[in-house]
Parts: sequence; structure tokens; C-alpha cells
Amino acid sequence: MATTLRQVSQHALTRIEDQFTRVFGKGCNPFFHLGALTIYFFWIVLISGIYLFAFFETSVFGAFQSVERLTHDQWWLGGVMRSLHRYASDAAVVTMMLHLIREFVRDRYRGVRWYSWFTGVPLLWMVFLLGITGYWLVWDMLAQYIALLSAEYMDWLPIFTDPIARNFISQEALSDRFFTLMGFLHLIGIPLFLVFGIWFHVMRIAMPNINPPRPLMAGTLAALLVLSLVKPAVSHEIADLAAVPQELSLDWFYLFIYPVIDLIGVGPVWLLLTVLTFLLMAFPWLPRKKPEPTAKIDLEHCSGCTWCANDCPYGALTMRPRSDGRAHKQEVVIDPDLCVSCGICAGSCPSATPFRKSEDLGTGIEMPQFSFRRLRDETDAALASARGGARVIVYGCDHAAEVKRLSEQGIAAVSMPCTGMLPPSLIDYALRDGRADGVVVTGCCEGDCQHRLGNTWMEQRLTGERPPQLRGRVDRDRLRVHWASVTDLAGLTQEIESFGEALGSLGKTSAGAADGAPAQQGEEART
Amino acid sequence: MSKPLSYLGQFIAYFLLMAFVGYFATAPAYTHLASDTAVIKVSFAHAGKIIGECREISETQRKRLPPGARVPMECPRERSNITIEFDLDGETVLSRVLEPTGLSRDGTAYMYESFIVPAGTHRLAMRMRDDVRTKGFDHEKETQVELASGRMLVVDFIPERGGFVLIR
Repeated sequence: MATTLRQVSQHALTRIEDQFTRVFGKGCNPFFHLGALTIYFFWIVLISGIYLFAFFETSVFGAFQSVERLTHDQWWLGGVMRSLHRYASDAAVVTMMLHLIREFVRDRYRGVRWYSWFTGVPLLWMVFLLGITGYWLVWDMLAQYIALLSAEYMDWLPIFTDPIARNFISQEALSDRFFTLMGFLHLIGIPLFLVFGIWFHVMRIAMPNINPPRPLMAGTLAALLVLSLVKPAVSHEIADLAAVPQELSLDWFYLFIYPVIDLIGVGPVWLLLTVLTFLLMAFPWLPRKKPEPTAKIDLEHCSGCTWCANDCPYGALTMRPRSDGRAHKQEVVIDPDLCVSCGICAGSCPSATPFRKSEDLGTGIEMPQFSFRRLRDETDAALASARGGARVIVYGCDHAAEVKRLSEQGIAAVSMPCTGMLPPSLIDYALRDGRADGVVVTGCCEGDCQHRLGNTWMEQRLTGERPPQLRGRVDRDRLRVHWASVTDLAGLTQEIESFGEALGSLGKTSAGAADGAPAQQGEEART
Repeated sequence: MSKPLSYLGQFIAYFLLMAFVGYFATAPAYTHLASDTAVIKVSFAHAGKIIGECREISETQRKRLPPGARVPMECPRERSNITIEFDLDGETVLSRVLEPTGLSRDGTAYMYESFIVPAGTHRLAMRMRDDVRTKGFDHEKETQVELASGRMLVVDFIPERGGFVLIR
């Protein structure tokens, strides 16, 4: 049931994302950069906030007046900065919540990936607290409403003897010190925790994507600026503790909980938020993901080249001095607690070459459930069963367009846990000795690899930017890369058809067509 | 997709995002307190009277005490519970016994309670007992107030200002 629901929601999400890919291009699809966009919005909030703070007075009477002066007397900069501050914060909530939903739907929160999910939950609290304390500082009727209800909310806990809410029963009771405290929390305290929280959130992944592509940065900033000019952020009336706020223009992104408190009371909201927080934190174990076998290292074939350690998107591989007395300086070590079993390391291993003389094709690092030997055998089997004109073999991944279904059309196809698992030498192998006329590499969309960097590394290996590189002798006209999401099998099929036509004009490959002997590609790559 | 179409699509996407953000940043308006209503808050911080009298310590008893604690009188620390009652238009809407805070029950007792009332004239009666040694209520006040829509009235207790105080 849960699996079906997840599959349905995954397909729905992918369909939406596909539309965004068509409009923004694969590299700039905002759905692929939600976490980075959230961080980017906080940069805007930080910069605009520093400007606002320069003019802000942390006192009962000064707070409102200083914000009013910024909003009206200096509307052309102070007002715009205030609006940017507000709307960028709101946009951050949108991207943050989408990020959370997306990672859940994509099943990227369980197993080894529990850590990022778990450490992301406290970030939600910090972000909402940051927003709430920000609204408090304006000290208008909305701030008064928030202050009073927040105080009553805190007073429900049996840890305060003197009710905080008594600070707001009259103008005389209110002290400037409260604004100093709120200013400290909003400007230093919570942001500091947030920065540390983000650091913890991404610390278990290698090369985290914390900056969105520049076109997205420019586009969102321009949109926020236009919104700031069209609908500037303004205050309510000045706070008046002898009055009760009646109708309020709430920022629903941050303040949605206050009407809930009004509706069901403080105690039930505490219960609701506590249960929700713990439930969210427990999600990775509800149910627990069945652990897959992690990568296995065979020191006999490991030259300590560091390529796999450099490619692992989760930092599961590290190098250490050689322990087996061989001539190589280093050897790779795996931390099974960090390995997601993607197999990208196997694709980067220089010993993973089908041109080797040894029959067992053992490699320095590989996946027990999908060995390199199996990959080569599946290549041979797929090509043997292929029919039709140009013989094309498609290498795809289990999380994108379902390439296995292509075999119904007579196209040779091999599906792996991740496209990054494919050593370029296997493409060379497929195109040599007349085995195939062309190779198509496919997988998750650019910027949206299920295992973060598999498609990026694969593309870089093919273009020669990253080892192991595809050998220069391979005819690039016989290779096509087409990333296709799970809903884009039709697009992939079309691409293969057009590729097949193009191959027709190139003619067939034949035994030994690719010049040069079937050299030890892995050994060459290692030098 | 052609470039112009792609740019148009991006424009629409940014427009929709900003329309969403811009709208929910202030709307829909939320009514916290209905029109033609007001709020009365009964809130005070008050320490009840000490529960007993000080008594003289005999010379013999004093000698048994450590040298630094040989005071002539022994006074109890514990304070009285505070009984508070609040009538609104002849009906008792609040009747509570507040215990002193602190492990030795020697601290201040706190009260914080709100009532939403229709705007207009209201008859209020407040009674407090803060001394276990007396009978009946030690402080009482009755008054009539006129509350406009959206106003707040705080009923506080400040002994220095004669007991119950109304703050508008």
C-alpha cells in the first residue's frame, strides 16, 4: 500500500518536474535545487536584515517608529530591503517544505540517508522561530498578538513561575529589555544555531549543493524585487496593549500556528507539535529501509588510485596507508554506515575493465549484488538478444526511465542501481569487435540523480573531465547521452530511434573496427 | 522547447511563485477577536500573608542553634494560599485557590486568565483572601465598566495602590 502510494506520488511529482525541466532546462530545474534555493533565500534575508538592523531601534517606542521610517521615508531602499527580507523568508519556507516533501516522496530519507532527514527536522523549528521573532520586532498590532500568544504558549510549560504574558498586560509592564532579548534571538542566537544546523544537515554528504545555478539565483531575486516593489511589506497599527488585535493580516507561512492556538488551545498545540516533530524524526525508521549489501573492497585489485573515494557522493570511502605490504602507497577503506550501495565507486575503479585477461574480472571495489562481471555478462546477453537494424545498447539506472522495457522492442538494455556505476571501458567494449553499433547512456535527469552525482560523474567521464575517461579511440558519433526521468520512456525511445537512423549512415561496426588492440584500458587509465 | 516559449514559461513560473508568496504573506485576513467584543484579563502577582506569627525563642533553644543563627525570634516562611473570585455581570466566572510558589511555599502566587466579553457595560466584582488567619475575603471591589469593541481591561492587584486596580 505504502509502496503503491509512493510510486503514484513519485510519478505525479516527476510529471510536474518534467514540465519544469522543459521550461527551465535540465540544469536549472528549481525542483532539483530546493535545498540550495532555501539557503540562497537566507542569504538574501541575511543581507537585507543587516541593512535593516543598521536603522532599527531595540526599544518599545523606537522599534515601530524606526521600521516605519525605513518603510516610508526610505521606501526606495529601506522599504525594498524590508520587503525583500519578508518575501525571501516566505519563499524560503516554500522551498524548504517542498524540499522536505520531495525527499520523502523520492524515498531519500531512509537507510543510510536518515541522518540528513533527522538533522533537517530541528531546522524547521529554527526557521519558524526565526520568522516569529522577526515579526515580533516590528512591534505593531501583529507583533503584539504574536508576543502575547507566544508568551501564553510558553507559560503553559510548568517551568516558569512568573507568567511571561504578564509582561504584556500594560504599557508600563513592558520593558525595553524584551526587545533587546528578541533582537539578540533574531539577529544572533537563532541564526547562529541555524548555520550550525545546516552544517550538520549536509555534513554527511560529499560536495553538497548549497548554491543554486546562477540563472535561478538571478530569476528568483528579480521576482522578489518585483514583488517588493508591487506589494511593499507594511506594518499594522502601532501596538497598543490597552487594545486587542481584531483583524490581522497574517503571514501564513510563519504564523499559521497562532490561529490554531486560538482554535484548540495551548495544550493541544504543544501536544500536536511535539508528536509531529518526533514523528517526522522517526520517519526514516517507519518502516526501516531494508539494508542492501555495501560496496566490497578487494585489495588484490586496488591500486589506491583514490578515484572511488573522490567519486563517492556520501563520503563513505577514505584512503589510508597500505596495510597489505604491496607497493602502492594507499588503500581504500569503506565506512558501511555511510554507503548507500549506489555503485558509483565501482564505475570509477580503473580495474573495472572487460579487457582484462583474468576471467573472474575481479575489481578493486564493487557491489556484491551487481558485480562488474555481471555487468559485462548482462551486456553480452542483452546484445545477443537484440534485434532490428542498428544494434544499440542502452545503459540506464533503476531510478529513471525503465530501460528494461526497451528490450520488448528488441533494443539491448542494461539497468543498474546508478548510471555512475558504468565504467567507460564497458562502452568501449560494447562498440568493439562488432558487438554493438551504438551505445546510449541514460539515467536520472541532470541535477537530479537518485544518488546525487552519478549522472554528473558519468558525463564528466565521457567528456574526459574526470577519470576514468572514455578512451579517445571510441567513435563519439556512436555514443549518445540522454538523461530521462521515470516518466520519459517515450522521449528516450524517440532519441534511440533517431540515434539508430544516424547510426545507419555511419554503417556497421565490425570486428576490430575500432583501431588498436583490445588494450588493458584500466591499466592505461591508471598511468 | 523554443527560447521564447521557455522564457515565457519561466516568467509564468516566477509569477505564480511570487503571487503565491505575495498573497499568503498577508492574506487571507484572520479575525482574532470578533467585532463588538472586548477582553477582560484578571492577572496579578501577589504574595499571601505569612501563615503564622513570629515567636520568641527561649535562651535555651537559642543556645542550641549555630552561633550565626541565634536570632531572638522565629518566624514561619510559608505564605497563605490566595483565594480569588471574579464575578462578571453577577455570575462567578472565576473561583480559584492559588498556591504560593517555591519549595518552602514562601513565594508569590500568580494569576493570569482572560475572558472575552461583548462590548458594552459590565458589572464586575472581585474578591480576594490572602491571609489564612482571617475569615472571609480580605479585599473586595465592585465596579461597573464600559468596554468599547476591541479594548482590553486588566484587573490587577497592587496592594500599594489599595488592592484591586483596573488598567485600561
